[in-house]
Amino acid sequence: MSETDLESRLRSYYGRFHPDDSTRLTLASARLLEDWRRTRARRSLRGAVRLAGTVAGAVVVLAVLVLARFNGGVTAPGAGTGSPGPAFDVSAALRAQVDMSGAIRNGGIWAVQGTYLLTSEDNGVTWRAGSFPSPSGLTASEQAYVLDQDHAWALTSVRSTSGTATPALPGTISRTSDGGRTWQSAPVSGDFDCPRASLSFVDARHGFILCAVPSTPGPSGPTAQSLLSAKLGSGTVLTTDDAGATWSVAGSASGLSEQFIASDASTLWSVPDTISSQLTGARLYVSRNAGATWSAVELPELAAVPAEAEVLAAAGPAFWDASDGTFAVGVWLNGSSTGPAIWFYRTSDAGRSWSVVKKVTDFPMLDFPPSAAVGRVWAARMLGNYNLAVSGDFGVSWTDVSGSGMPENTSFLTLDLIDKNNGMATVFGVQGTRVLMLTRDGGRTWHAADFGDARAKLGANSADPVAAANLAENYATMAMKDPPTAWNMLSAYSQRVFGSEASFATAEADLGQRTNYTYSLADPTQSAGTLSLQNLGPSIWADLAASADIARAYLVVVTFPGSSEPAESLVLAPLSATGEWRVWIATATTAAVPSPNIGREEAIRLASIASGYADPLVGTVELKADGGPFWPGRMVWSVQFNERAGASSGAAIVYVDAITGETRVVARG
Amino acid sequence: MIEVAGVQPRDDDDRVAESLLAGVPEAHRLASWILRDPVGAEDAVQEALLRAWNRRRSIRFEFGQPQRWFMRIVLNVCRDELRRRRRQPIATTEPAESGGAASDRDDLDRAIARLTEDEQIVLGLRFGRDLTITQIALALAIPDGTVKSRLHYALEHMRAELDAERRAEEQRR
Repeated sequence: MSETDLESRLRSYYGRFHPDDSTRLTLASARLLEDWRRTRARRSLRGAVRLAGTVAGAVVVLAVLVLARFNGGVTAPGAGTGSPGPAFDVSAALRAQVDMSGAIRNGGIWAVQGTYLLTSEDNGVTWRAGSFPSPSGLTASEQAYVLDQDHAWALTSVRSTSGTATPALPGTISRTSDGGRTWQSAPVSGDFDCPRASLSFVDARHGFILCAVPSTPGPSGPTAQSLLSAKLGSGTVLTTDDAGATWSVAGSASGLSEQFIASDASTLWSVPDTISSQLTGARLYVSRNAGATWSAVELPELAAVPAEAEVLAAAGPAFWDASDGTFAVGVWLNGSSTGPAIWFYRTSDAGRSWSVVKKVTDFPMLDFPPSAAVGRVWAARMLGNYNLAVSGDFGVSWTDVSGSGMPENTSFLTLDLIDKNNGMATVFGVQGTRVLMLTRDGGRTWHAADFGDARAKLGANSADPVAAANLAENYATMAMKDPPTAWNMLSAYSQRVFGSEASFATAEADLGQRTNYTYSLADPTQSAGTLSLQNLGPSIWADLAASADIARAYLVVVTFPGSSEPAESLVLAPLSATGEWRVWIATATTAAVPSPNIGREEAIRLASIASGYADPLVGTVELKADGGPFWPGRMVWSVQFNERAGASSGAAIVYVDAITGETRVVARG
Repeated sequence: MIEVAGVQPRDDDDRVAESLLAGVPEAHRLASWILRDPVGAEDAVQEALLRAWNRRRSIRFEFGQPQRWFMRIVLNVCRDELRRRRRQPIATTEPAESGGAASDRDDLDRAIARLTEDEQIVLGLRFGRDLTITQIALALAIPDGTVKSRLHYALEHMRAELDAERRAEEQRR
């Protein structure tokens, strides 16, 4: 059965569960809430609520809600998290987009942004840039491990990266010992399953890959009845002592997962996945012989927990030297009156003994396992939004802090603790972008990472037509929902490739001077890829104008026949209201693309339409209120518009579902 | 332009109630697709509503935020419900006599019920609510990569279940 087959079966299957109109439920819910507020008495929830009411009644309720939200949006646009402190800086965040980031083992921060590897050893004050070996940045099938500013590794899977990828083997390990200026690659594969792989290095030469095969539940989940048929996951450890050039199998064991670290050259830790943990009761495994054999770690006091309780790893383990580490587990006796707890453990003898530092029970939500983080000296648990409880003594004493300077309507994607004051987090900044945020005061205030001119120093030859096509595709998705963000994304990408506007201008002028080049036009939003060349007219501009669509970006690859010069890729996107276009020249590469010739006139024209580069936000759709297009995505926008026909201009209130992209004009004047 | 005049500053609790109620239709859709049971979905929405209400003091309510927070509670209630279901034996109805739509539906019903709660949730969001990977990641506040791998393993597990079931049926014939 092909994937497409199963997916289409699932779609039609789920189609049956589309709910009836929700007005009845909304009305009943309003009454429920009213009753609840009036009595404040506990009652049985299930079945106690009778749905009743008329559609007319519900419409009144909903109409009031829309007005109320509209009022809130226009008169009180959100101001960050509301506490004293900095507001979220959108333009700074756009420059701080990252694909992935983490703490450097030997202290500091790393991030991958497109084709840049960025590192900082002073908690984000200054940055150094190198190149990252993958042309389109870090993808889901890749993983990076950064030991220090010079030494880093990247694992790239050979597997197809379409759809649902994880870092896996067979693959390629790339290594650098000069901060990403140069990379060497070596293939890694072997006679073992490796659907999920992760990397850990302890020094410049010694490192490990843990290859994990996840557990699979039995026919009715990991319950007592199905213990026999559930399958325990397993893992294989690969080791290198030549910086990753060659790898050998150290050993394998059941129960291991890809969540693993090496605390020294012979000591490895792995946290079993959920099913495996439920089947065996083990929450942490250790190997003291560099992966040859493994044993379950006995954590104090857990033996006394009733067997039916859920006990799952919540954070860690984290080791900042060979001796000192910390680990946290969530403990929840379902159905008991006590809520879920996190138990924080620490060790100072290389994990030979662990002790419970604190058992914490206050959580705002029924997340399980609860969201927590552990690190050097620090521990933190997430209290919803950007509120954290932080501890500077491994969890003995706690302080609640509420972070300011973060974007609205999202929460932490990742949180890493560097020391008592310095921390890093990734969040969704503006829609669809992942932003690296830093704190210097233990999570009270946050600011977007500022990579400064580190990237400009590296040069601008690190992208290719594939990356440009990906960008154009992302643009198309984004432009449907949020044109300003789409423009910013293109602009940020262009700055990423060129480092500065000056170098962009140079490239642009160069292209304008050329006479003997050819081009091909691709519309990456069509799965066919390249438009048929027969359909191209004598000038690329006419072709583009004919197919102009604000929701699309176009990829133009320009080649220079008869010369050894590399091709240029351009990403072009139209401005709907003015009929103008913006052009982003992606890079120089060696791709050969067959295509018809265009003349000098068209060359100059191509360059001239790039003239508005300096301000890509010149678009005529302007958000006036509530720029928080996040889940569940309903909001009211006030939009200034100038229509293309030139006849009218004015303002409108538009009701937008940011998820479906559905918009409805509710008033215009 | 619409004029909004005479709107009095409201009590905080009123604001909370309004924004929670505004989220009910979306919550209803999510719960329907995740639980695949109309009555259970309505129960879940109302349970989430009261859970959210009782915890309203634990977060700051600002414009735009309560909705997202409410949806996370809805997802948690659904997860609890799926977990509760999974601990009960799955109804082992005999497969329908012949193939066709009804049998296919039963097959999928059973195969989905055997997935982990998190896998069932991503399937509901992906194929029911029709969200993209990034939107699911936003909703669940987890990285894209995790969504992708959950989806991947959910489909893999389903394929295995469906294959096993088909083989069993062939043997019976």
